[in-house]
Amino acid sequence: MTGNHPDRDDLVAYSLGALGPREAAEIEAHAPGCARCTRELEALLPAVAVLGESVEQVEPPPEMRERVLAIVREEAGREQETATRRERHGWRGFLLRPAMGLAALAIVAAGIGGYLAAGDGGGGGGGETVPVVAQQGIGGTLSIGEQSSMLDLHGLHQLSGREVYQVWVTQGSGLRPSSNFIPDSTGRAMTAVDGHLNAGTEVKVTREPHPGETAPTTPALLTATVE
Amino acid sequence: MTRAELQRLADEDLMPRLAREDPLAFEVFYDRHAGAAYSLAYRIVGSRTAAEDVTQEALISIWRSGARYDRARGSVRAWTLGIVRNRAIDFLRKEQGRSPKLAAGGEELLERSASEELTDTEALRRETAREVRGAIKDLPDDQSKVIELAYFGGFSHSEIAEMLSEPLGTVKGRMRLGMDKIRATLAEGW
Repeated sequence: MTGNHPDRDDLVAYSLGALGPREAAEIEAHAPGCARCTRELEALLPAVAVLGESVEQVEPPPEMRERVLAIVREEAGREQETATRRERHGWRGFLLRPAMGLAALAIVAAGIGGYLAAGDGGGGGGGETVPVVAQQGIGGTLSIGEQSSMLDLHGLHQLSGREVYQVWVTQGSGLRPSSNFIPDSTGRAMTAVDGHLNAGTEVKVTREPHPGETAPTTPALLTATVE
Repeated sequence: MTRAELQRLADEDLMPRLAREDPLAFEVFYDRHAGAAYSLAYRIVGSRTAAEDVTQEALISIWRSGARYDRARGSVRAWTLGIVRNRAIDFLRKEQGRSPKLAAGGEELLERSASEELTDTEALRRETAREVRGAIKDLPDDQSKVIELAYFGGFSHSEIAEMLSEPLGTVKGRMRLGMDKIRATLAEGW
């Protein structure tokens, strides 16, 4: 540190992703409130970006394009169906939308939190509510619905960088990712779990380094089992 | 909006359409950036199959979180490559004991055909990439090595210091000097 600021060498190392987690966290805590360090980091951005551009260009396989676009079209189709349902069911349908942005969830939560906590709430009509078995001071409930369920959690730790909390649904030996979310400043979050959850299904949440993981990379922080 | 209209949009104007889950907008995004994303992934992980997995995961994660793009944190291309880089480094870390690929294997790399039709933006990007490749080659070996180990290898500065048997301060200093030279090259070119 130079005075209250990180060394310039450390800012350069940070921009290259070369700091350890603790040192990186110190910069992430300091920089947003410091015009000088923010300016320096912003000035480094183009130089770091061109490193990624500087590699020899290799043609990606055409089948990758087909595969990626097929996934995207399928998910967009599902989203369209959900949107149609939302239009039909108004706010209740809105709450059933999987993988919804947290900001929207937080706004909804502020307005109708009591309604959701009452049981039937965001779960979508099934009415059953099961507690989550959690660690590290996390608690909450899973409200089961017919087509979508709602996790309502509190005591979540704040995330850094691109981290997200990821919801997973396991049934038998199968596991699929569901929504991901970021808690609000009080450590509270609500998120929808899409699909019908049969008895014995487990809903788990892990903390992941970034969105889009296809399998958990960290141990589950909580589990809710549908009875 | 038609595909032709979407193709005329700047990256930054395309992203809000991804956030609204428009698959056609994603297709345009894919055609603009998948090549660079795959090339970077290949450079880091050193295998076509792994590069394909890494790129696919990264692009799908962008589709699923398109609303997260913040133009204050750089261009769409830089943001995309940052995500790809993180994925590729995670892949390397999971493959324990695997060393980073420090030099591209020339015979396997297929430079895109010069006759391929390029947009002005893409042509400019490639010209800049060539300049930066030149600038990196012109760096003293000790500076380019620490930058490559950090950016393409995912090693921390303390790991690099241990690997090269150099003091930590020396490694950090070399990173700074090298990055300053790249910045200077960019400043001259723009």
